Amino acid sequence: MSTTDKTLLWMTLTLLGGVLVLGLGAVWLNIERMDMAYDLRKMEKRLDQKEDLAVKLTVERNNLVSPYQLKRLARQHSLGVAAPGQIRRIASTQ
Amino acid sequence: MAKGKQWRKDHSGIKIGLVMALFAIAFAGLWVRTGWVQIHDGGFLARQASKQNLAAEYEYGERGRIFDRNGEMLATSVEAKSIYVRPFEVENIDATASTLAGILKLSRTAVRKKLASKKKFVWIKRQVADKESIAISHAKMKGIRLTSEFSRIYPNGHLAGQVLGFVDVDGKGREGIEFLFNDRMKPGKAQFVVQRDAKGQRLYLDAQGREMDINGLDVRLTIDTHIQHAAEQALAKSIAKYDARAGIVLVIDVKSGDILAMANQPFFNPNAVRSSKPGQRRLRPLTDTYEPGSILKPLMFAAALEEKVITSDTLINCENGRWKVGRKVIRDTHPEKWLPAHKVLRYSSNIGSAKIGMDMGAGVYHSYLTKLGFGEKTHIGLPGESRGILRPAQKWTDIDLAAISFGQGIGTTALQMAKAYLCIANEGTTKELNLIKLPGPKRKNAAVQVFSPATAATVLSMMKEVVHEDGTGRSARIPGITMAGKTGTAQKAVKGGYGDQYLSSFVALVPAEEPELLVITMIDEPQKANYGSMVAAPVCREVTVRTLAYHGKLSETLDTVVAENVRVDTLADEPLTGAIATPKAAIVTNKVPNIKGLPLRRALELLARKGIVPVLKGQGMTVKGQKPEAGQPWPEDQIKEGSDDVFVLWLS
Repeated sequence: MSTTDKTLLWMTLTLLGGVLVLGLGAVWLNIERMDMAYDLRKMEKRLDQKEDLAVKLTVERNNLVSPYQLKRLARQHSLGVAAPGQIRRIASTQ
Repeated sequence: MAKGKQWRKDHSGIKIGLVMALFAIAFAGLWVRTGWVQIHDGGFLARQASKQNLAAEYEYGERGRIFDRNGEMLATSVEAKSIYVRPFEVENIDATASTLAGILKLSRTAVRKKLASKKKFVWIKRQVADKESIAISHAKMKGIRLTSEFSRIYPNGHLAGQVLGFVDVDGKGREGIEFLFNDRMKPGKAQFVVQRDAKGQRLYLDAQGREMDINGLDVRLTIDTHIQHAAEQALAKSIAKYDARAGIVLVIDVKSGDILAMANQPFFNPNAVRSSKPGQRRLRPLTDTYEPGSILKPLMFAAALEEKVITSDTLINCENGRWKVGRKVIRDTHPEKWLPAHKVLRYSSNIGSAKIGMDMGAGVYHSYLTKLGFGEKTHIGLPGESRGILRPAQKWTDIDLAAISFGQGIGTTALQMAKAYLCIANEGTTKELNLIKLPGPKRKNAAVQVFSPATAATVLSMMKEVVHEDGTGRSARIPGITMAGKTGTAQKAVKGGYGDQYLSSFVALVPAEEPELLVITMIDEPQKANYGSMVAAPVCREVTVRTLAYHGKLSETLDTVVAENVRVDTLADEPLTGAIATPKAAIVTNKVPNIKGLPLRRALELLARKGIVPVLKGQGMTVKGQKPEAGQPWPEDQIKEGSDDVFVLWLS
């Protein structure tokens, strides 16, 4: 086998090897992409759930600090609106 | 033997040739087929494959929220599950119906009917509670599916319910702000492509289509939840006490024209629209037209003063409480003979007012009423607003003119009345009322000077007498605060005349000079009493007290004379009524000063400057002892968070 033939053979083998490696790489990347897609989907769902929960908690918080709730709490602790003459203003400390 | 071998050898060559030919044909066939599939059917097959692999997914945004002026949430949308059935997928109708009816608290018969439907899709229940949706998904019934929708939540319940309005089950605004700003608040829809695996599970493909904002825009009102609550509470208390049919309270910030509260009774909870009646959903301050009664008198007085028909001291013959105009007799609750004009208003004389109105003339009076906005919508923007009833001046008879002078024979909404009084409070210049802060109002600023500032001030001074002298509004008096007010007790019209039902009302402007707050109360058909002074004035008083307390503007002093000459917010520097002579406040030095003998308030001020909150022992308002003693260094080094003996004051 001449030197040229050998070179040609090696180049062909290298090319075939490269194609094989690239093919395997493409398969591996596809598997990774699918895994990532599953993970992203799960994370999306979790994010949606958490956002939904955050909105519900905000509603709950707003309900708890609503004037009706505050008044009920104030009544429980014997607090009420100060009448004229019951107010003392302390001057600004600045 | 050799010959036979030679023959077999030749035969093998043919066989090999045949096999090769077969292989060649098979390969050629495969190539042809590959070419056919790839080139001819390629596009079609690619589309078929993408149908299996890819799917369109929709995402719906959230409806815009509604906030009050301070950013308190009044309405928001929360994701909720809705349950539907694909009837042809249901395996055991009876068992499924029983389970669904049990979890969702529905009639089993009704559910069974839906399950047996011939349709492809039937709603079972929409926007269910989280507990119910979890129970349904755990039950794993065939054909029963859950989907996400947004349900509207109003965290404050019935607070400003009629103002907010409500949305239907499809999230479309039907009343109030929800209706008015439906286009602004309605959410958008995003469509994007997702990948599907063999089981049909959906996977993330790319970010395309997800970056757009699909949420509706928010709306911010001028309403203040705390003042709204105060107004609703005071109103509800009065309605219950006097067994009235309905009521309205409006609280308006004079400087900006912002409506701080718009309370309606009966209440309406937008979270429970289905259980409400249409009467509860009505926003009465703009839909209901009332004959206002005596609260119209100050406006008539302003017109008469402006036209120089009267001065504050013009004597009016009030006919001892009985006067005949045409075939009608006008009566006064407080019969008097001669009264100066300011006392006509103070005692709310119908006869005196009628005479002033008649002196002024129908055309002039009508023009002022028109300039004040009566007979026209206020254009606040909400649906269902009434124009009120203001007939042309040409059609007014003498009796009409007399009656309209004391607030009968004319129909106004509470909002129109508020706008007219805002003009008086704003030194005689009209000002638009605002309910919406965001988006900003698009109305033009069409301010008109209806009265001179001097006329407006005179009317306010007359209205102040109503509250602070022996007028009809004494029950609204707040110690230490000046108030200009006017009571109203209007007879309600029935078919063919006036019946025995009344509208009790009160208008308050606080403080009386340069008002900052306007409060209007109307109580419809109170049963146990009907005078504005008894029914409506206390409501106004309570709302005003709570609003001033909320703004930190309630007076420290009970002395109104002090308050007369000092603005409400500067009263802080006035000495307490009956307080002991105030020693000069000690100057803050490096050493602890002698605080003994100081009033508690001054001592607290002094210590507050050093950041010290002392422990108080004993009762009283004067400091009789202190620790550390005068001359000692300030206890700065010893201050520890939570320690309670850094500075002790003994009181007497």
